[in-house]
Amino acid sequence: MPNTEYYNDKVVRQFLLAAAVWGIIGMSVGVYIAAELMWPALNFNLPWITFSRLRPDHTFGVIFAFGGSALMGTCYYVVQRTGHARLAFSKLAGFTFWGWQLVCVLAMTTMPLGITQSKEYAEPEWFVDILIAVVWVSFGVVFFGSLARRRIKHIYVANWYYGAFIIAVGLLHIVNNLAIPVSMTKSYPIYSGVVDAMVQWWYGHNAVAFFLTAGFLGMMYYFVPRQAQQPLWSYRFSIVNFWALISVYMWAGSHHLMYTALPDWVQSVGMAFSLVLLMPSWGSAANGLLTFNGSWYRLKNDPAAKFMVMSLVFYAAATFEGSMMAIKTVNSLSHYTDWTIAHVHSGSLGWVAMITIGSLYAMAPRALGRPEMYSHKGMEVHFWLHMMGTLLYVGAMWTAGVTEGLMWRATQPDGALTYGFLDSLIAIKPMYLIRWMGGVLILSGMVVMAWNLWHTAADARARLIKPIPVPVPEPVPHQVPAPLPAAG
Amino acid sequence: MSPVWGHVAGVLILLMMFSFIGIWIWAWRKYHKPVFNRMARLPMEDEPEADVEEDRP
Repeated sequence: MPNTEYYNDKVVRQFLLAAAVWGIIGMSVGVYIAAELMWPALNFNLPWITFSRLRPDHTFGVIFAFGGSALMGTCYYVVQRTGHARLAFSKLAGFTFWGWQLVCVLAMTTMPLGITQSKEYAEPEWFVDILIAVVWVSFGVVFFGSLARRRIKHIYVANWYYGAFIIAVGLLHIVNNLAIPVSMTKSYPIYSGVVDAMVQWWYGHNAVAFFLTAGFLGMMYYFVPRQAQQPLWSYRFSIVNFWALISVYMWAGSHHLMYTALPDWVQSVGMAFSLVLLMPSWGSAANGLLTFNGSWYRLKNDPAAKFMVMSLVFYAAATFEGSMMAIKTVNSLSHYTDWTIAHVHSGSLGWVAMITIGSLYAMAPRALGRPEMYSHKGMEVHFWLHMMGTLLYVGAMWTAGVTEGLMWRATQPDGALTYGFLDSLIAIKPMYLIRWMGGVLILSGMVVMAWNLWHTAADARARLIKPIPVPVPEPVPHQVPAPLPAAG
Repeated sequence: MSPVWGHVAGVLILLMMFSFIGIWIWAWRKYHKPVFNRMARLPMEDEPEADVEEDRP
């Protein structure tokens, strides 16, 4: 068939490999800094391995390097399959892979050297930020160019989420990183005071919203029905949830600045929007879980389905918790404590990592030209290591957080504080040990996944796999845009 | 602050409410049903060989 068009899965495989590698690197740093909190001597008095320098390496490594690579890889996979068309601009897609890897290497090597903007989740300095913007715009061009080439008229809902993720993250990144460079390694933001804080948390919260939620919901809306082999429970409900989620999320960022110099009414706006946000969040979680109706038996033997179902349970739990923590009175107990750490890891290890791992296990065999993953048992072991590790981590940090909150606010009848800060640190020390143990389990699971992927990729490494042809559908009358002819 | 801003905020809230209700009505229109039914099944078309029906109890 001379006119057969093939999917571009090379860049998908590259991002798949990168996600596995960055997952191990990012989580290794996380385990190390968790150990530093338990055994502070582990920083060896070397500035570049202190908690303060390595913590951004952990967050950047897991969010942007691991999560980003998984998102870009699955996005390229999904946009081709749901549009029945090859990825647009193959060379530019290749550039987004190498460019993103360069971004990750530059960020992860400069931050431990103390080259940082000190903005949470936006630490890399101006020269890395410019490269991020260039790669991101290229990513958008490839994605929307691929949508324009689609042969299926309706844009599948997963692409709506991926599209929102690309547009919003580009906007957030550029606005939050507007800065004046004063040297190669130092810049100052154009914002100051409380405006700087509000811009930063508008960015920080929406990095959670559009990077860690919308992007991964795109993954969920494609890979959950695919793995359950059931139609999406309610397609029209997914559309309502999409518009509700993206309209509401943007306004909730000020809940990160409760009881600060931010005007009180702005804090209240953040709280109100955070509460409303529960509805679209639970809507998507319910839509994903109900898609498994009729397929629950798969949970017995399919570790990828187990990861997906548990990710949706954690998504529902973490979004409920987030809405509750945005209530001012609850926030007065939780803020600045390890409860926040529990919440963010319930979301990142429970929701984000589990939907990613489930989707990677679902996608990898197809992208690597195999009928299934190399080791079924390996996936099963990974699920239980990850699950137990997450429960240990989150349970320990919840306990530590509530302990800290209660101890810090305890007062004597004369108004004096009952406990000193050190008392609270000593009280939560056992929880830091449990947290580290949970991290070790999760990291071990990631190593098992990398080993499994390596063996599944044996044929791909030997260049024995064949490209997958695009199924060109029957033409639809009056389709706009007109369907493209198949091209090689 | 001028009370005009209160009226602007009220009108905006009404507009947002109507948009939200409009999206529900749009999504539930019968016209979309065949397309949405097809879309709901689209992810299942990628890998038919993965369907392990023999596991079904």
